[in-house]
Amino acid sequence: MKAIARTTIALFALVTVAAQAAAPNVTELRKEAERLEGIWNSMRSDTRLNELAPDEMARTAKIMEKVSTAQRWHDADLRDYWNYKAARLMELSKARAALVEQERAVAELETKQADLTQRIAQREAERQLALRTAQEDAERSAMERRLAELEAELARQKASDALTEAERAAQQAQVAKEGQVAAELGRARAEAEAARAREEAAIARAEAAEAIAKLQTSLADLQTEKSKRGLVVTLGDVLFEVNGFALKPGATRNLDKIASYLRQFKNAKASIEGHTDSTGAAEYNNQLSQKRAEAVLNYLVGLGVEQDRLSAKGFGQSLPVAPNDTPEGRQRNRRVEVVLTDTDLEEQA
Amino acid sequence: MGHGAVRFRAGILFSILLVFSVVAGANDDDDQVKAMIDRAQALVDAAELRGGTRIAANEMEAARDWIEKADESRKRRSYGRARIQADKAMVEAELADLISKTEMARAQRTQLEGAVTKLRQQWEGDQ
Repeated sequence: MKAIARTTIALFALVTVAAQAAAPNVTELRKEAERLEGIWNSMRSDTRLNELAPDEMARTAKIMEKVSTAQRWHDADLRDYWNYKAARLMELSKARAALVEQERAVAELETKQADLTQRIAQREAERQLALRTAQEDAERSAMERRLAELEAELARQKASDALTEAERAAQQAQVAKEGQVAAELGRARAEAEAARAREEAAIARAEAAEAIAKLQTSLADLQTEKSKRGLVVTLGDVLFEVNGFALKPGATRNLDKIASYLRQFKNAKASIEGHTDSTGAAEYNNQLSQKRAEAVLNYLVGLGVEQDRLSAKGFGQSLPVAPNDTPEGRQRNRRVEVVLTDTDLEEQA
Repeated sequence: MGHGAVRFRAGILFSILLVFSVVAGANDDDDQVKAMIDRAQALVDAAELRGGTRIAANEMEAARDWIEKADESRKRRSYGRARIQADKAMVEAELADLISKTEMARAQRTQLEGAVTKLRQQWEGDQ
């Protein structure tokens, strides 16, 4: 029993010694804690660290509190842990402060960079604006010079146009004047022509009147009558035998006068018309009057009158000039009428 | 039913509840330690992407070491030790994270200082 007790005590003592050997040295832990306290005291008064790493400093403060209280616990592992953590948190505070400093410096540099970039860009923009403005001024000046040149050119052109216009107006006035003169000359010429024409017409009329007078004189002893168709010369039934169409030898004196007239007035034409009384058949009278008119035509042609100026037509008993119920009336109806027409004479008359 | 039977049943029920609470508490500890390990690992990974292995080599190594130890302690269900180790890993990871960020900011600052100097020269030169 005693042996067991001794063995147990020996084992307990061995374990205790082993545990003491494995555990951190208490003296070293205390020294480490004191060293950390010293560092911490200097860090705690460091405004830079307090400003730049407040969270880490707060965490360190809490741990340092535990480091102080852990002295009373006599738990070496835990004290070692607190010491370790406090030391690393101090490093962490310093690292945070360094990081914040670098970040602030970066931010400040970024601000400077942005500011400088903006200022440079602004100055470049102003420079470009000045350059552009100068360029625009130069272009404007050039345009103004060009405009002035164009205006001067336009003024010269206008002056030239005005001169040309004046010359043209003068020419037109000259032409108008010449035209007026020409018109007056033409008018005078026309008046002269008209006067001459009137004079010629008067002469023609006089000649026509004289011709008519001559014609009327030459045909005075013939039975004549002026009508719309012309001058109608009526030759009685003395020209032909009864029922015959051969001219009597002594009855052609009146036809000679007519032939003489036609030879003298070349423009005159003669239309020879034969008529009978109502004795006998109308057809026979038509043929007889036609043959008698043709006999007169042939006689005139024989005296030198152109045939194309003559025409002959028999009307028979169709156009009586007196009743056929008396011998005098029938004698008047048996006739040959020569209708003389001369357009020139008629117009002039 | 006598008082003895009632006490017996109450004792049984208390024991069951105690077992449940112990099991549930263990699960909570495990979850908490895993979450701490995951956070520390995430910070270490982020620091590594920023070149932390070169810049904060000691912190990265320490963080990985504490993460490994915490995970082993967690697997042994030694949650008190695991929590302390995970917390140390977390502090080291935070340090690595801050140091790598600081280095990046310093590099950016250097670059910006060069750019600003050029801009200032441009600004002053064009005056």
